[in-house]
Amino acid sequence: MKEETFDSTSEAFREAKIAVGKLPKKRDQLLPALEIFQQKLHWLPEASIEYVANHLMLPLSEVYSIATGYSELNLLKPTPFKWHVCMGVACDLAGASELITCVDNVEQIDCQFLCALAPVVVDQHEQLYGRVTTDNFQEWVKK
Amino acid sequence: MNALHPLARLRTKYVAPPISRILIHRGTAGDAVGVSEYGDRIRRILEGKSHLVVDVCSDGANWAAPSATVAQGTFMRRFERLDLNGVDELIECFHGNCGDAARYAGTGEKGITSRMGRNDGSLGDVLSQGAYTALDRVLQLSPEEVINRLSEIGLTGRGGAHFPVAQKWRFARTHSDQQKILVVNAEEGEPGVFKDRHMLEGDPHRLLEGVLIAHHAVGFEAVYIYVNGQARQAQLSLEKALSDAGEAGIISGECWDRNFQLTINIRSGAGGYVCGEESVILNSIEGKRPVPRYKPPFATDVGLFGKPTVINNVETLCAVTTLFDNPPLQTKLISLSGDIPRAGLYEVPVDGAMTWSGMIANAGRNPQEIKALLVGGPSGEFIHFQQFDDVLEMSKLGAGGVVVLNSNADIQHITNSLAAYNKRESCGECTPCREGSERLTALLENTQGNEKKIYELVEIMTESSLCQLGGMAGRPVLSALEQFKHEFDNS
Ligand SMILES: Cc1cc2nc3c(=O)[nH]c(=O)nc-3n(C[C@H](O)[C@H](O)[C@H](O)COP(=O)(O)O)c2cc1C
Ligand code: SF4
Ligand code: FES
Repeated sequence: MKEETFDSTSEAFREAKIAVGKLPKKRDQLLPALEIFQQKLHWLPEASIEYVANHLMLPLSEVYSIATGYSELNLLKPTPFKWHVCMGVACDLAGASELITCVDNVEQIDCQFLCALAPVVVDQHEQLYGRVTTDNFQEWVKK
Repeated sequence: MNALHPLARLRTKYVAPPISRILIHRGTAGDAVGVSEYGDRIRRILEGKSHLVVDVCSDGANWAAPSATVAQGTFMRRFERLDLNGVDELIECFHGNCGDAARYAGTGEKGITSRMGRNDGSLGDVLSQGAYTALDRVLQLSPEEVINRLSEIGLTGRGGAHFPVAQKWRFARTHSDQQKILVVNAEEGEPGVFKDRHMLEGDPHRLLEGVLIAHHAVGFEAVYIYVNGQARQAQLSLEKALSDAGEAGIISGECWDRNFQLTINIRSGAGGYVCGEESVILNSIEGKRPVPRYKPPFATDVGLFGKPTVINNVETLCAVTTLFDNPPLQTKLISLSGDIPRAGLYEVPVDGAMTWSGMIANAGRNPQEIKALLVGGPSGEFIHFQQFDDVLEMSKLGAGGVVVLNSNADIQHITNSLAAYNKRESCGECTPCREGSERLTALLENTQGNEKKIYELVEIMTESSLCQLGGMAGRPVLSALEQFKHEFDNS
């Protein structure tokens, strides 16, 4: 099996390390540190967890226990680009289920707090789109 | 010696923008429907005057997006659902031919949304629209006078639980010998609510002003503003406001020749409905797992890093500012969505004058075509159309999320999806909610003959859950079963 490996020489990883290195060595910097890696890499490879643990002088297990506790922190590399369709109540009422079925390979997500512009979809850059029609959506997904 | 009033001094340094300009309503909402395209077009047409075209946030009228407003002093005309024709009309209007009567641009003329979508984020712009005047008044009052004003008016928290603000501040103040902390809850993770994001994107100085008023009344060592991790634009705009207000000597108090001795930190959250629960925020800021704490002790006694801590919602602190306006104004933000033509953010008076019907009609829908409202999302309840003539009560509004359901809406389907949401979001820390939310979704698969079990289960969850996620998870279920039982029977 060919595993998708993490490129520890990437510019993003280097930048994140520099930013984390500047944080005070205090326990309350744990979440901010993990968030820096999450933002730069979109997930938390082992090397990032180790870096945070070293910098804040915390046991690895402790850092893992926090990293697994927050839903926006990913310990797994995200699947290559997928669109997300909001299935919150307002979007559901506005026909989000049609957006789910009109294209392949989309994921459902909870409310994106743009309910007044339902139905809402999200692209890989976390850009939100409102009042999406099946025609628009099929076109964007094809691109 | 400079004899000018502190704010007047600031206004000479941070000058007001030109009076005549075009506001492009961007923000998360405008960007989601491609308003920039029209902004670019307008700038190209106006070539040499493109500096008069400025990006502002949404004014709350999401239904009108993509939109832009021609502002000439107090004259405002908003161009809604822009298209190429709309752009031409707007340009005409900017040149003086506005056609029909001026249309007002924002959600509220006064109140906490008065500057939302009408300022370009610069300090000069918000100062010219009255920012920090409430703080200036408050600084003439004693802390006791400030808190008395809040209790006279009866201001309650806007994060959902409606706890009296004055009482919370007083509790913290009793610890006069200890360093105290203010945590601003800007997590806004309740599905269906989008008010705090709008506030932060559109008028972050309003929040900072509220924070400084709270500081004057209670006296804090530090402030932590905990912003939802996905609300990027909100966080960026808050960061800019904090840095601008810092530079201008507002945060330090220097501008009033005082020393506020306050540090304000911005922290970003990392997801989940329960992350908005106040004690989860404390754990999260301390770098611990996102689970609630047992109470007592209450945060006002033992809170962040063990210090007495006041936790207030963004809207609560914004609302504090308008109580020092003349006359003081009490309002509530409503996030309105669902089957309604003019969905968006509304600021409504809470003087008992507005009914549900009035609210629905005001947003462009005949109330008689509406079956129910879902108020308060996954912790809320359904309001049956027979109750539409009741007035909006603060205590019923939760955080102010309202979804309009027409006669085709499937109450059973919605109830099940709310229950499934609560199950997914349960943090698992306590058994009644961890096991109960699982069991509740299973029972809802087939309500026939299971009603007694559902009621018993909800009672247990309500009474013994550690936090209100589990404690309120049964609310929408019971309210659906009580008012729309027939919809469940047919399944
Ligand atoms: C599951 C859950 C989620 C909550 N989410 C939020 C939230 O997103 N924003 C908020 O201000 N309060 C939220 N609250 C309420 C807070 O615990 C707290 O009551 C509030 O921040 C206090 O501020 P206030 O008195 O100014 O309203 C939530 C409560 C629970 C139980
Ligand atoms: S009620 Fe639910 S969310 Fe709250 S502590 Fe218990 S398990 Fe966690
Ligand atoms: S329900 Fe889809 S954005 Fe809120």
